[in-house]
Amino acid sequence: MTDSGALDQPQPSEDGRLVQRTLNGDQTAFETLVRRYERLVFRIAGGFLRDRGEVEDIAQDAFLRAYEALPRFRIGSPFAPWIAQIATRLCYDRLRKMARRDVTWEDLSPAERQTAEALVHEPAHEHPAATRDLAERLLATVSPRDRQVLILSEAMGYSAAETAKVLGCTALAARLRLHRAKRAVREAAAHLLKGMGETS
Amino acid sequence: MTACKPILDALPDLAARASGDIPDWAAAHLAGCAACTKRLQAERLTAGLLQSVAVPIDPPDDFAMRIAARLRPRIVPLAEADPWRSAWKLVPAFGALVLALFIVYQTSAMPEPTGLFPTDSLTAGEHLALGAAPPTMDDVLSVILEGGR
Repeated sequence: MTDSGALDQPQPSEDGRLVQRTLNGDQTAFETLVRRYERLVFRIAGGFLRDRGEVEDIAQDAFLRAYEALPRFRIGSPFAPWIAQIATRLCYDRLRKMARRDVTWEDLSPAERQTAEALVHEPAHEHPAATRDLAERLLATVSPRDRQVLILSEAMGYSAAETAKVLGCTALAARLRLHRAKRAVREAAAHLLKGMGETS
Repeated sequence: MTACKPILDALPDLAARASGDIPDWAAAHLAGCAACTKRLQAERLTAGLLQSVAVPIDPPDDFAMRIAARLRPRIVPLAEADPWRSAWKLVPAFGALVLALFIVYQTSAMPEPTGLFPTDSLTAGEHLALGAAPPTMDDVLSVILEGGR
C-alpha cells in the first residue's frame, strides 16, 4: 500500500493494533510501522529536500518524533496522514531556515539554460539532474509555505483533500493556498524567462 | 485574433501538449500574442520543473532497524512512560466521587448554628432587648386587644 507513498490507502485497524502494541512495550511493533511508512516519509522529504543525507535525517527525525508522540495518536484513525504531517512539518521548518533567493536567466548554468529552453517548447518526459537543479532554483524563489503546498499537490500529486490532511487545514484552504502558490511560481518562471531570448 | 481569455483558461492543458498538438484556434492566437506565448512558456516551465521534484528516494534497506536501534535504549511501555495517559483514565472515577460527595452533602440535615456570637457590635437597644425577660402571654394579649397602649 504505502510502497507508492500514497496517503489514500490507510489500514487504520491494523495500524491501531501496532500502535497499541508499541504503547505496551512491544519493540517490534514500531519497527513494523516504520517499514510500512518509510517510503511515504522518504517521498515527502525527497520532495522538499534534494540532499539524500538531509532526506534521511528528516525521515529519522520524523519517526523518532512520531514515537514520542504515539501516546497522543488516536487509535483507529489512519497513521499515514499523521506521519506525513510530522514529516511535512519537519521539512517546512528546514525550508524556513533556507534563504529565499530570486533567480534570473543570468544565474543559470549552461545546462540549466538548455533545460529551460527545452521545457518551454515541449512538456518534459525525462528529468535530468539539470532539471532538478533548475526546479530547486525556481522553488527557492517562493515562500516556504507556497513551496510546501506546491510540492504536495503538484509534485507529489496529492488531491486537495489529501494535501489538507497533511497540512492540517480544510480542503478549501488547501485549494486557496495552492492557487496562490501557483500564481507565485508562475510569476517567478515568467521573470526567469525574461532573459531567455536576450542572452542565450 | 481571438481574445486571450480562452487561452488563459486552457493554459494547463496547453502546457501539457507538445507544440505540434496545440489546437488550431490556440495556435492561431499564440502566433499573434507574445504575452500569451510567454504565459504558456512559463506554465510549461513550471509544470515540467515541478514534476521533476517528485523523484522518489528509496529508503536504505536497514532504515527500520536503525530507527529501532535508536529507540531500543529508551523503550519502555509508553503507557507507563506517559503518566498523563494513566491519569486521564482516573478522570471518570474522580468525577463520580465528586458527584457522590455533593449528593451526600445536599441530602444530609443542615447543622444548626452553634456557639455564641460576639456582642461587641450590638447597639444599646439590642443589649436591652436581649437582657429583658420575654413578654408574658397576658402582655401579648393586652397589646393585641388594647392596640399597644
